[in-house]
Amino acid sequence: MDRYGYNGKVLHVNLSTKEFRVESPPEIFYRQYFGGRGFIAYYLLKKMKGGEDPLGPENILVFAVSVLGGAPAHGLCRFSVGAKSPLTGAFGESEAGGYWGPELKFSGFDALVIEGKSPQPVYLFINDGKVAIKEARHIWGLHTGDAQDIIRREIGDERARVLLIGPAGENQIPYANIANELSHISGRTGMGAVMGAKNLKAIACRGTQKIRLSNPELVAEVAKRVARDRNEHPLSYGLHWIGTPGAVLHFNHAGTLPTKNFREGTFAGAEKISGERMIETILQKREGCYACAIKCKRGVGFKSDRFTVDLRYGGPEYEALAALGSNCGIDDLEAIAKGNELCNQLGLDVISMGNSIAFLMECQEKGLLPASWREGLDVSFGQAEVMLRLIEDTAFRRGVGQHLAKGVRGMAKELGPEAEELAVHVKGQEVPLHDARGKAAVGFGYAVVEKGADHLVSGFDILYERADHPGFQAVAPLGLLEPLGVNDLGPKKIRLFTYMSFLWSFYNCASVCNFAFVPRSITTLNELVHLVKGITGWETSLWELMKVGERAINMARAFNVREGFSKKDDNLPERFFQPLEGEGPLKGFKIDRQVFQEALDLYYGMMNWDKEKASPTRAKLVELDIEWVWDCLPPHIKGGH
Amino acid sequence: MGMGLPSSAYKRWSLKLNMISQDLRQEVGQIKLSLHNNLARYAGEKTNFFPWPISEGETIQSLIEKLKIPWEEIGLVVVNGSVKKDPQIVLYPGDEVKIFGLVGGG
Repeated sequence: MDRYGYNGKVLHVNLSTKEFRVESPPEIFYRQYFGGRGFIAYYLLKKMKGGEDPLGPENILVFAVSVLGGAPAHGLCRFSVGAKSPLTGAFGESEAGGYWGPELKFSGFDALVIEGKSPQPVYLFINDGKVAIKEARHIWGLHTGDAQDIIRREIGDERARVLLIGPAGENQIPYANIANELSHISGRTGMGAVMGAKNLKAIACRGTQKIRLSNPELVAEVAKRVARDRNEHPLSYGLHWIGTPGAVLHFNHAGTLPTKNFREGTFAGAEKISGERMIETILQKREGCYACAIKCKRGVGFKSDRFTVDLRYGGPEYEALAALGSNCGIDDLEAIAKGNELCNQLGLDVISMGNSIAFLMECQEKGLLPASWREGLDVSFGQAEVMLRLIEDTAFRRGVGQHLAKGVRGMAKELGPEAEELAVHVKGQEVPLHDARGKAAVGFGYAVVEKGADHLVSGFDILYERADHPGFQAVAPLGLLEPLGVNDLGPKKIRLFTYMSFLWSFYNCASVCNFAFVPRSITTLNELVHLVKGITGWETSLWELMKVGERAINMARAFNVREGFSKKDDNLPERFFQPLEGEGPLKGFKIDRQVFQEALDLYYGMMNWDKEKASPTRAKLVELDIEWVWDCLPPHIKGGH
Repeated sequence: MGMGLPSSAYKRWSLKLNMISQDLRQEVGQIKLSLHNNLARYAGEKTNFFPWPISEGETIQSLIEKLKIPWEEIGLVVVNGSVKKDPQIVLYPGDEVKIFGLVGGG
């Protein structure tokens, strides 16, 4: 049978028994689940039963590229990693770009399913279809950079792409991340801790197999168009010129730059930590992922009298600037860059880390922090040196780091109800650096998305507020024809959210980067369909791709329902129901509880989910051709239908 | 947060009128201007304020038209630290004007 785009092979590795197995799923598997989130949800539902310990050998860790991943076009570089999350206990998933995902495809596999637990530290080497489990005791405890150097030397190939955890992952910090090429980070939901719990330090890949394309001309046509126009299109040009850090000043003026643990929306030191300032001072180069013409990533390296920051670890993106900067009241760009480097060396998610520190800072300010927690340290807002020390202490659970390692939810639970009102998390995951009070759909996404607070769910409200915005115009093929205000959480916004979440979910299934495709960037929906056709040869449509996205959401939701998650977990932190403080333009604005509840009910209705159980109905699962998922749901959920 | 934008027909008309009239108007001084994000390319990719001449009665709208920046590429206009939504606001010498392009965050 002719097969284009994908290898038709999924590698299964049992770390307890050191056994490998290669599965060859049929074409329909690839077409319905596509890769990424779809594959992860499939294997977690099929191979787990519910109630497992996320840090136990029974957790399943899936690395999935996709049907499209690694094809020679911009923005098809991503892969997803998923497991039951140690941070949330829910569906865990994180995406990253870089080069590792394409390399896994070139080495002959579309995905990697890891079960069991190795008795001692190991790493995997996947080399053109061959798999080896290698001893890793000598690299256990090393920073990501040092470990990567040793692995490359050992396998004798400097071009091997290495994905790995740092000491934080080894120490099972619940928000430990996974790095590939040191600067491309699968940050969220603590997947690094799952690797650490399995005694798996790294996965190196090397492959020479080309991805077969059904219609190379069609793929090249889209890639050439984007390469030609990337500096003309305002969004892709802006991503290259200033990247995500360009948001700092803009958000500050709009009153939506999270400041001092999301208490305020403007920061007096915003200029000092802005993308503009970064360009003037510490930016060394602009970098990109596999085959990408846009190159949105920051390369920061410098040596000052205070810090040395290594270019290999990338540079702070917007999330890092706000998490370690404004949200901690810190206006020291060099210190933030150092903190970002530390997070990438030690293997900590910069969003969860920064917000855990910000939470602690506010607790101290409000007198909620016992002296025994502080160990003599002044954890007040604005202390850059303290922030850096706390990052290191967290990775090794030292001093105050023992507490920070619990995350915001864990700390708040111990500190009591007053602290819980300051705990900005959803389902246990710290909230990204976007205030729900200035971005209604982003906030709504925090509440409902299965992996816990995440900002890459439906796109930013600012993309859809003006009829002349290129982002808004680009989603017209979905039938989204009316611009809606940034704070609008009415029925039309929920409709927009729902449709956009299907598209974004497809992106997460298909290795697609949202910084290369609409609405945040240049590649159109029609070009997306052309790429899928050109790569696979399938006679497909936007309808089919949207359904792939919707299917994966329903599967992730079913996973959560099986773990006992219910309607009460689809909520927002108390902070967002309280008025925004400070002096910014959104001062006093808060989310209306009733509007939020109505939006939630409407969303469940649009999803065809049971409104009380917040769970997919059998009819919806049948419609999506995944009736088997119904059998994964617990009896009390299935009863009454 | 969007500015009240003129229709494209009005835009063309006002641009034409502006081109005819701008030579006739007196330059009254300079503002401090900065262009951010995707707008950086309209001013040689500068990251800071640079001086920019204005004519008498210069508005946000006439300034943007002189800079030849398409309206759809503009996100926010900030004059002396506060966001201005009315494009007819008049600018004066010494004003600090920041014009932001489109961002999506992330």
